[in-house]
Amino acid sequence: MMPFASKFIFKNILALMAGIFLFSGCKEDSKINDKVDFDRKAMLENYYDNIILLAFFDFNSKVNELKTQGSRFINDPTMANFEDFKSGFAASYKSFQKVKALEMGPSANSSFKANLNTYPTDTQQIEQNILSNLSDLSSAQQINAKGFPALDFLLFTKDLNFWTGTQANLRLDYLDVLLDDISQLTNQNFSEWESFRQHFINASGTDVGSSLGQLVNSINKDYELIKNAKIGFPAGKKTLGRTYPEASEGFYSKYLSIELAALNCEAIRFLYKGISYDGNTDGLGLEDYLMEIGTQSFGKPTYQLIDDQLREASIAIREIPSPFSESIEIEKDKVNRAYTAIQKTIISLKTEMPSALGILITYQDNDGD
Amino acid sequence: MTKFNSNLSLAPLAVFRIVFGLLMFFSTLRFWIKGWIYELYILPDFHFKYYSFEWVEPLPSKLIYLVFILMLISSIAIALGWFYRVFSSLFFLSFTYIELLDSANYLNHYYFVSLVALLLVFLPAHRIYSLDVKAKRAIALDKGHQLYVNSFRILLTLVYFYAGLAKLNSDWLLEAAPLNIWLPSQSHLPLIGPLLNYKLTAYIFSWFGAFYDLSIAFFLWNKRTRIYAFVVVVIFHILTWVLFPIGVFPWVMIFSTLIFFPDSFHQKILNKLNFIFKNTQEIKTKTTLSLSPILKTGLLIFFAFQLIWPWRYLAYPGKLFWNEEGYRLGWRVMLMEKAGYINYLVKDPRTKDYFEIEPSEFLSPNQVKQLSTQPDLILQFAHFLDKKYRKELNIEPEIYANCFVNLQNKGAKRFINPSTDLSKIEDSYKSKTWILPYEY
Repeated sequence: MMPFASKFIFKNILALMAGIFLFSGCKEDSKINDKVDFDRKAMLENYYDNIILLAFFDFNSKVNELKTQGSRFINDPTMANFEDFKSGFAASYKSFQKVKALEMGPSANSSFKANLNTYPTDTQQIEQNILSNLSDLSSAQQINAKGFPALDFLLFTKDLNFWTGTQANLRLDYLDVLLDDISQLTNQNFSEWESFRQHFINASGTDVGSSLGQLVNSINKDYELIKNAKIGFPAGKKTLGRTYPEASEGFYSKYLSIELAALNCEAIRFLYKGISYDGNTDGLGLEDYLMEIGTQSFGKPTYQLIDDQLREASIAIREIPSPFSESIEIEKDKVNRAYTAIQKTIISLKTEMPSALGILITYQDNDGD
Repeated sequence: MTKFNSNLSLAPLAVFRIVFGLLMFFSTLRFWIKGWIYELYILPDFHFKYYSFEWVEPLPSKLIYLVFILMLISSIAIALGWFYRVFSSLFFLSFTYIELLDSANYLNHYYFVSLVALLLVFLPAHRIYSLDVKAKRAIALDKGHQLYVNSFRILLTLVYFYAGLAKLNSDWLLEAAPLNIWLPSQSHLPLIGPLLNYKLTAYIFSWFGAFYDLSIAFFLWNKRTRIYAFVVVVIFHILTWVLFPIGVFPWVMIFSTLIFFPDSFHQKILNKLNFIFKNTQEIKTKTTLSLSPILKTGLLIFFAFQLIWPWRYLAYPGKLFWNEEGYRLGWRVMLMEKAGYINYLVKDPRTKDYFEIEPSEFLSPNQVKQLSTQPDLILQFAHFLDKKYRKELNIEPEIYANCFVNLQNKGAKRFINPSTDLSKIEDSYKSKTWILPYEY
């Protein structure tokens, strides 16, 4: 019985498929040579050589400088040294915004972002740590009492008397411990990135562990943090409208918050476009890859759409007046506009980019559903 | 020529039992080693149910591990034919239980494994070359009703053929989607890599894939084409294994198709295993194991269900790939590239205040991925939020989904009606009117 059935079905399958083929042949417009012509390895080289390494190099030097300025202040707490220290803090915090979207490879292993920038910082924990003369911040419980947010609190809520009066030694000691923690982590991270080139460029696939997969996933995660942590949570988007200005990034230095958010957003746009760290050369990046794939979305090329959205989001953030912690209450429209612009961008980043580039976002088996 | 009703030897069934048991052992072990038991079944605060199987509840985490240990033991016991009925039942139950725990983990190949395991419970795969026969717990028999062995051949035929039918759609055939998206992303592979960038390759793969699925089972039934068909099976599945992250499925299919080979082939394999299963019982070569009317009816219902159930999608309006109403349990594999984004708005109707929920606060990346494109999961999670905030905030929340989906890389579109309060919607087999229509 089966051979007859198989012949019968085989013939019919062939006939059916030939039919569809002929039918479709009439309206086929793509040429036989159509292909995706993109050098992923060259893109990864551009990312490593012209962006990532330089970004981490710059951040590392800013942190070294901060450490020097901090030590000078600790040894000689004068007003001039205090101001120097504060400006070093601002410079390195800004530089940090340009590497934080790169939580991949060495940075993912060290939980770089969480260790350096968990906010809101726990001010009580910090006071306690000072009193107990804590000298090691590496445990997970200390994540809320260190990094830039802890410095933000200590440098911008305390005047010089705090650092020269009673208990000044304990306080200065804690500054030292904080700076050590930041610089050790940063130095270590940078040196690992320095020797990561081969690995980065050779992982040229699109699975979760590949460089491209990690880059896209870490950009997406970081962009969501801009929406949720930098803007959304302080502005009450998570809490039935109740605002939490004290939860904003750079709350104590007041005038940094908007600048930090905008820099973060702009850095992601440069990363997307493949623009070199110095801003002078537009090399191969995700944008070029999407251009080559050639998909359309919301009536325009996807690569263009994402670039426009990233740019509009940065502009909308910069339009929020400083300090952010006050704008949350009195400039709700501008905050909402920025929030909406960021939200729109996230939708594109999460739905368009992985699909167009065939990037996987989980390790699990799938059957392509 | 193989006649349908001349296949009476139980040897193919015994080999199938051994191979399946071993495959399940290794794939369960692989699942464990990769840390997926923890990641998929223990870590998440929330699990997605299957409609009509909402009563399946997760056990405490220690017991979940125990279920996996049970799966490991019973898969080996199946291979050995050791207390076969008990352990094949336990394997079916434990495997299916785990699958029913979270519909975000649904894969066609898990469904296939469940079906095979269910059949094995009732088929006499342990009547030769098993420890049960060796220990005289089961009477040794080497012949049986044709449906015993043919059940698996029929199931495989059905799986392949339906997978092929599902590919006869315009996305697959006319646009070579989603292979036109997936293949270029593998262009870093040695040898074939550069070819994968060509659109033509995606077309060739799509058309060949459809033809393969529709026809391969019939070439395997046919004695003259069988060996060539098997070579194609091996090449095809190894290629899919290299190109796509589909886990152990290719190996399951490659080894399963061995059942199409003749009795003599299987007998040869079994002879080599004599050192394990050395039988002291006299095999009743004159007796043929008959098929009880109850089992016959059971098999009939089983296959009738398999034939009919995948077609239920026809009862729903709209585009199947978009709505996914009647999508699962229908051998639809590798058919779409679907990426989504979702977050929820929880609104207090009294004050009109609202807040936003990012599902990743509660779910694993895989769950979020599945949630963002599948309407029934979207509804379930809305109900989870409803219940949670009803209790925690003492409000009667309205829940809205802000969801966008990009299907086959044609650009993101809004997926769920943003003004539908999902907390008021009950899931059912009825069509979901709160899914926005597919428009491209």
